[in-house]
Amino acid sequence: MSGAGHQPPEAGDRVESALRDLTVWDAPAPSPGLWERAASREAGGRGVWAVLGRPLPQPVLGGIAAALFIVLLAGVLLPSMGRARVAGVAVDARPAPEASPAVAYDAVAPSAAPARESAAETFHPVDGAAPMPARSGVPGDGAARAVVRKATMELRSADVRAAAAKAALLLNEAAGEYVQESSISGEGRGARAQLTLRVAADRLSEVLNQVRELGEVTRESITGQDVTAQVVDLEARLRNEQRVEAELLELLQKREDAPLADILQLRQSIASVRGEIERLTAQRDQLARMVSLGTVLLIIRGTDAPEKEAGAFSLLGTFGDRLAAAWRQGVRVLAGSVGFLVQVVVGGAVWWVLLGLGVGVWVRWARGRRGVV
Amino acid sequence: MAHEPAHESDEALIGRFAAGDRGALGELAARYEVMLLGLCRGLLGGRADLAMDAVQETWVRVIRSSGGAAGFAGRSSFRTWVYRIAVNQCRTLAERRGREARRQEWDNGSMAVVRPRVGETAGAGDVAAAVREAVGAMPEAKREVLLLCYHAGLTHEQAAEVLGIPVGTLKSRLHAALSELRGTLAQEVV
Repeated sequence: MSGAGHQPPEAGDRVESALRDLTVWDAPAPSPGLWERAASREAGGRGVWAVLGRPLPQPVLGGIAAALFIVLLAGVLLPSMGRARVAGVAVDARPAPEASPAVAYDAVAPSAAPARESAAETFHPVDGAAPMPARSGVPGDGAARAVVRKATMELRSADVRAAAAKAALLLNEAAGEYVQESSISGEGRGARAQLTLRVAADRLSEVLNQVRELGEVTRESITGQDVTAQVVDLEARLRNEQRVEAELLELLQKREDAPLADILQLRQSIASVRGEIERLTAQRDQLARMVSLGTVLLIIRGTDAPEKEAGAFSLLGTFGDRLAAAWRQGVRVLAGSVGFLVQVVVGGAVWWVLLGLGVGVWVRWARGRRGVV
Repeated sequence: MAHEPAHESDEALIGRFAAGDRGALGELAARYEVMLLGLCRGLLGGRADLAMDAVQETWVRVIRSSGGAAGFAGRSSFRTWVYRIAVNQCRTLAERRGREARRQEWDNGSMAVVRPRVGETAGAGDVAAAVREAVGAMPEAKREVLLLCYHAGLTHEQAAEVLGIPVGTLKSRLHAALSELRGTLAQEVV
């Protein structure tokens, strides 16, 4: 290995001589040779290939690795997508109590039972709801969730006034239920009544079933708003403020001989914290009322009453309504499309990363394959 | 098997090894192993143990690649191919060693890397040690060019092929590296 054609830039230079010496192996050659160790190692690690007769070509190995990666990806991805579809169905189905009322309401309205139990002490025409039970869980942990239920039902009845009166009588005042708003207009078969009922969440399904019997149902919808995160957040903030208040009080007791300015500042801080506690408590109670009492908007029309409120026919108005409806529909579709894209990009982030890694490994492997020769 | 090892080319030997003749690899090792050890020790800051690891890993890569399409296909000489593998192994080991050193420094609570000045550890008249220190303190790219160009086993053309750069680039880097080295050593040893 004399390096034919190699000519040191400046022969005789001590530095260059030292440079040449830097890459000279002056120790005894390893025994056994390193190539023998490498060959032994490879022979031990290639038992499978020895069984097969000869090593598999690199493209075959690459193909096997790619296939394994795809199988792994599909094995993880497909069940996840399946779960996502099931979850989507569950969410969509949740507001439909008639499908599975026991599951829909018993599971999602935990505060209704306490509301009934404590109704005797806490009943009030306006503030009829019982305090919301404390929750230690977080949203999605499988524990009870706080859901605000709203239902709208439109009926046709021959006797609107009687149907409205019966609807009001369906409420159980002892459970904190009440008529929040009521109005009747028109006479006879052309009458129209509108009632806003506040119904204990766990009785919502039962009350709706009874309301359906008051006439012919022409329209019905139920919505649910999950406020578990707000409840958890409120309770956490409340606990924190209470802890701060306790600490400030303790500090105040320990520092009785402190300068007046310090004590005044402490008192001011305590007052501020107490104000915050009251504000948070009021918010929590309000939320508890909304959760414990579902809202039913009931519209009862006589058999001769028009579907829409009477109004002067206006070509421009009709055109405007259609235009507005089309605009709203367009915005909804756009929002849905954007939401879907965001869901694909953000929700699938893990898979994009995995895919990127896979492609990166493949590209690196392909480049290495070209570059090593 | 009537082979004539003394006249047989490297490419013929690797072909024989790919066909199952284990002895052919021994013959290639007899030609290159000591040369590779020297180069790897230089690239790895004089660490003989690391150099032996690097060379052993080089042979492992040669064995694995010799039978496949991704291996040696005769588009370059065996010499530059095996040297390129060795240089890559040295880079990998050096990087790993650097990471371990940084982690150790971190564990010891010292985040600052204190490098001794050239000549601090070598005696004023010990040129070889001073050069070793100065080369060890150079950036990897310059160090590789310097050592490959002064390695007895390679011409400049072959060194450029091993590093995957044009010969002109190699020469300009060599010039810059030598200038830096001389400048570093000027007050200490030259």
